[in-house]
Amino acid sequence: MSLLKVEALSKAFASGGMWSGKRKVTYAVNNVSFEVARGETLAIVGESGSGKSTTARLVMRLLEADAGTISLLGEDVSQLKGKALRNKRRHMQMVFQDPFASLNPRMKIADSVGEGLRVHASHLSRAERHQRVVDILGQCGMDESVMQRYPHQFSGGQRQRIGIARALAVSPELLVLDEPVSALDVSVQAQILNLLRDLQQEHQLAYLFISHDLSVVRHVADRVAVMFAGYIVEQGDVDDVYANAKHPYTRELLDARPVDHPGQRHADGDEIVRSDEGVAESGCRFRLRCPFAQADCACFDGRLSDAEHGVACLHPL
Amino acid sequence: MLKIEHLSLAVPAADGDKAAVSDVSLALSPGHVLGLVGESGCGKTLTAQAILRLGESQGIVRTSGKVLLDDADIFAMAEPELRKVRGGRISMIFQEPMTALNPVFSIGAQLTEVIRLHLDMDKKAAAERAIKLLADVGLRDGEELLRQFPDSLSGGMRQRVLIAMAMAADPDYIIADEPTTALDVSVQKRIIDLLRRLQEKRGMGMLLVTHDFGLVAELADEVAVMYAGHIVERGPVADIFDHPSHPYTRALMHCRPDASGKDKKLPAIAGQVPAPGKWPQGCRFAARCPLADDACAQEVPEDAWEAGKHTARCVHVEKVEEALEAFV
Repeated sequence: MSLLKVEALSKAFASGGMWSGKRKVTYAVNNVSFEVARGETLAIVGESGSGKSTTARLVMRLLEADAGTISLLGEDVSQLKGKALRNKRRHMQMVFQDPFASLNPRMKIADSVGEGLRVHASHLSRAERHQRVVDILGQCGMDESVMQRYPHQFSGGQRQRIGIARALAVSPELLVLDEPVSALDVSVQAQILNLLRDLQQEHQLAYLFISHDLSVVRHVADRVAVMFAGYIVEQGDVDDVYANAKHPYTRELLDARPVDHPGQRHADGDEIVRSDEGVAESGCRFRLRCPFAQADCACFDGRLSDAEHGVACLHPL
Repeated sequence: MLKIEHLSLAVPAADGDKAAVSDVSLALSPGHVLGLVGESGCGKTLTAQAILRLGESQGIVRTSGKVLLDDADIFAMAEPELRKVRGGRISMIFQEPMTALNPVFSIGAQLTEVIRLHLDMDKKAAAERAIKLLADVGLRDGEELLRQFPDSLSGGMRQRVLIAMAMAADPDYIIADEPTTALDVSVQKRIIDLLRRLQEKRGMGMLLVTHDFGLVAELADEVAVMYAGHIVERGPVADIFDHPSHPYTRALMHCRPDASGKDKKLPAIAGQVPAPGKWPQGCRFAARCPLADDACAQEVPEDAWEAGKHTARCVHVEKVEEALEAFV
């Protein structure tokens, strides 16, 4: 049984309409399904506007889905409310891109990290909770001296350690990480990635790892889902997808990575752009940018093929 | 030639100015790309902005050194002369395409303003030049685009417009500060290709400020690596990639996630860049360096700069490659 199972999740946002009269509905997440097993990392990769962060928020129930189910430990949590939902939140916690924005600036680190314990582990005594916070900060590479300090006294990397400690305090099984290392310098990024790896091994944590960075995803993920305009366009084992991309969009992303060495430079004439960006409103959403698009792509329903390595494309590579 | 000679800068703080860049020398020649690499807080952006004296309004002061544009000291220039240099002979491309354009003026108004500021042109000629510049950066339908406002453009298109603005007066030098950082991956590559094409075609000298060795690998001819206000290593790009000789450069290259396997621990650099004003005596990287010993706390070798030569400011430079193999 998978720890997290998401089925046919959809979310639309409406824009405009107040004065312009034209109301436009945009599907941020469209019929998205995936599973994450205990101890496993599923990465969702895509560019801005692809719906990857919205997916993370839907899974955390920070946003209400329009359709679809979210099952955690075999139980549908997509309709839970109030106390029942709060109880489930102990099992899944979120880490944000900017830990400074997600930590209360007026709360001491000890209180921020221990906040979840007050809610979810109220049976523990004060001293026990204190000890738990010390332990979890220690596991995240911070010593006891940080507890009486405030978020602004820390660097980006340290804040992210605190953000991770805060998420881990209630012993969740699943961490939803939304661009957790994007705001960090490479040397600090490596420290945090190593920390996440150690914590996963130690606690058998499952990660839903949202990122736009293909190198980071390659390093952390077991499986990867590539999102474009609200759809998962390709999903599979990370090595398989990187070595053998089937969707033209995945191919484009992989080809866009900078070279590793100046000797590998290749000039490909970018004289006039076909289209940098742009999303079709129907059919295959990628077809405006796709070098392999054909007439039938305009009628494609965007369904992901039902294989280990699935692809949503009528003319896969 | 555009030269920075022994430049030192200080940033204002509540308890007095703090040294942020110390004794940095760089040279940019037409047709060449120099990559200035380092993590945030190393002083690379301050150095780049000092070329056009852009930090002055934030209270950043030059404590020593010069910036020479064909032997004229930019710091000695009066305001009118400086204005001609800015955007005329030396242009800048910033990191944030979302905030660098004024939202209340059309693309056309902003682009022709720059053109007419530097070139003696009437409105019509300026508009024609604007359309041509937009075509040069890969934007079709220039006439239509000139009427649009920044908010109707995507990030990639805005960055193209900003590049067109930077090219408006045919500058000899261009300073690109993290030109692709805020863009989507697939757009990044196209902007990199565009910058390379424009730079080669126009024979401009480019200072590329970045934290990303991938961008350096794509564009730079030469590299200077900065750490805590110092240049710690410099040389031709292939030498730097093949034989990184300063422990910091080496560590920075190896901790990138692509370089190692999925189950392997990344060779992270412990600790963080010391803040301005908290620099130690001797080598500033010593506290994070696996090779550091007593000698490192005493002194750091001078920046032995010679054109085309690969140098690193490390007392243990002879044994870096061998000794650090063990760590990565």
